[in-house]
Amino acid sequence: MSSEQPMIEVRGIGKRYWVGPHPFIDRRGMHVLLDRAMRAPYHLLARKIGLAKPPSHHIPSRGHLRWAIRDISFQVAQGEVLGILGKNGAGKSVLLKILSRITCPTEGYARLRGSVSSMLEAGVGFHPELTGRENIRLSGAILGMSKYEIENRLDEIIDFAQIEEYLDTPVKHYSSGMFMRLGFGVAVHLETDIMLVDEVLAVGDKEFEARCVEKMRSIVKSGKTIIFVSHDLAAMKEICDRAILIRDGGIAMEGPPDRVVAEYVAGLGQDRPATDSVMA
Amino acid sequence: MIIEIRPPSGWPRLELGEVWRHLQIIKILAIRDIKVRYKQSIAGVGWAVVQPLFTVLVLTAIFSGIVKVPTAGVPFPLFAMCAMAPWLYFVHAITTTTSCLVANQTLITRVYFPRLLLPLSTVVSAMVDFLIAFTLLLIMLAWYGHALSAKVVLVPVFVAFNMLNATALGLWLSAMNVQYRDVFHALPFFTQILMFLSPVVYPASLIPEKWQWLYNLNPMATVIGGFRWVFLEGQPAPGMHNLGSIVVVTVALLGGLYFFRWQEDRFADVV
Repeated sequence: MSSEQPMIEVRGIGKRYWVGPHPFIDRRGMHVLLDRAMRAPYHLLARKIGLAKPPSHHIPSRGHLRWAIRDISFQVAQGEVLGILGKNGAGKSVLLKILSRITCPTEGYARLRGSVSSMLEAGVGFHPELTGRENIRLSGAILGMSKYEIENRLDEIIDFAQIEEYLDTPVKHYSSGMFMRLGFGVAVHLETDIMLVDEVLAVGDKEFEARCVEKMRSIVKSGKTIIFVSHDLAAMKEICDRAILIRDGGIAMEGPPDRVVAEYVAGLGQDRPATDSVMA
Repeated sequence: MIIEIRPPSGWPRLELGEVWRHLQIIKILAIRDIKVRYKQSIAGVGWAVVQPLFTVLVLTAIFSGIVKVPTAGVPFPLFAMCAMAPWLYFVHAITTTTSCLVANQTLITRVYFPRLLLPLSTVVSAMVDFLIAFTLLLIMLAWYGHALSAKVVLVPVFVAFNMLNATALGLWLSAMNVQYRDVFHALPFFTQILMFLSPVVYPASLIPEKWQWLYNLNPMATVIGGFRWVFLEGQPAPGMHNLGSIVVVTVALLGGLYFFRWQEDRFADVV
């Protein structure tokens, strides 16, 4: 495996979803049939004796297939940080979910050379009834840490999340900030070659955010290959080597982060009323 | 390590090696389920004692006190408890397994791991119920002055068969439940009927000879029959007539594994 080859190679990935009601449950389910059966006598009677037309009951539309993303192709080299920008619903998260193997693509192909961890949300695998300590072990194991790695990093994670005092309290009693800090703490201590990071920096106060960005910087320096999805444009420009703009499920632009960010901001302006100022 | 991602096509591959590599997660999920199960309840794990005990008590009152079910001279509470230990495990295991994918929705939509680990972990965590009921059985045997025979060494065989049976059914039910929650609603009804089709409150010998072959296809007939044979006197020994149920479990398990793997690609989108 030479280092010349890209760590991440994505070729023509596309994902199609069913949009609308379920073809059986919502259109042929018992509640629909019952509803129809109960209205039938009245409908019949109304037609026979010419009563006022009864209100027709609602039959859900048929639904259709829709491409959430299509024809996505790019490569990420070893140690490179690729930023992905795009409005809500553009397809960024679907792309990350496909690369994380959470969901399957409908078409296309992707290859990742190395171990992968994905941070799609803080606190994945946490159980509200378990304590902070128990949840670190649970979440760590599910995210792919070995028992040994977890015990090794336990102190580091606790220190990072600053929850020493509440370590043996069930996380259901945590404030949302504490919960997020602990979740992020576990996620950033994963040791994998490739990291897929979705919008998790915006957790907690300014101080913690600064610590997160600092941590991200040190991860970047350690030579990991990262795909980074964020709306934090400043962090995007600072951390990423290259960026991609996704619009309506396709790649609209690829290039240096500051140019892509500029294009993204310009794109935001187009959809909004002229009086609305865009904040970057 | 190279990870290749492409659309699902053709016959699904089982990739049991991948499950084996993640065995640790089965353990951790099972421990989580056990820890969480009786949180915020006063009697806590006492419920796992009360349930088999009272069930046996009520069954004894009805099927020994009112309806005289023949037990070949075995005290009815013992006769019933030999069935209750494996039966309650089976019911609990398939109930929790059926809803395990829906209950772990956030995991399925946020993180990758072999999805098979979820049903496997619930089948394991339900063993707590079995161990408690089994301990009760041993206490009752001592109470009635029954000595254990050397046949006891075969208990793990019947326990393992029961687990495989629950796994087989659980794989089918959990995968179907993701798409159609009807499965969850039908389940209590299904287990109730299955109880009457298994020798829980009566001996299998009451079934007419010409239906025995069909009756013996039920894996629970083999498991409960095995338990009674191990612990009680004068009970029919397992034999060739149990082969059918072994075939049933094997086919259901293999089919279940493939069905689960085939459906798996859709879990995150549908659940």
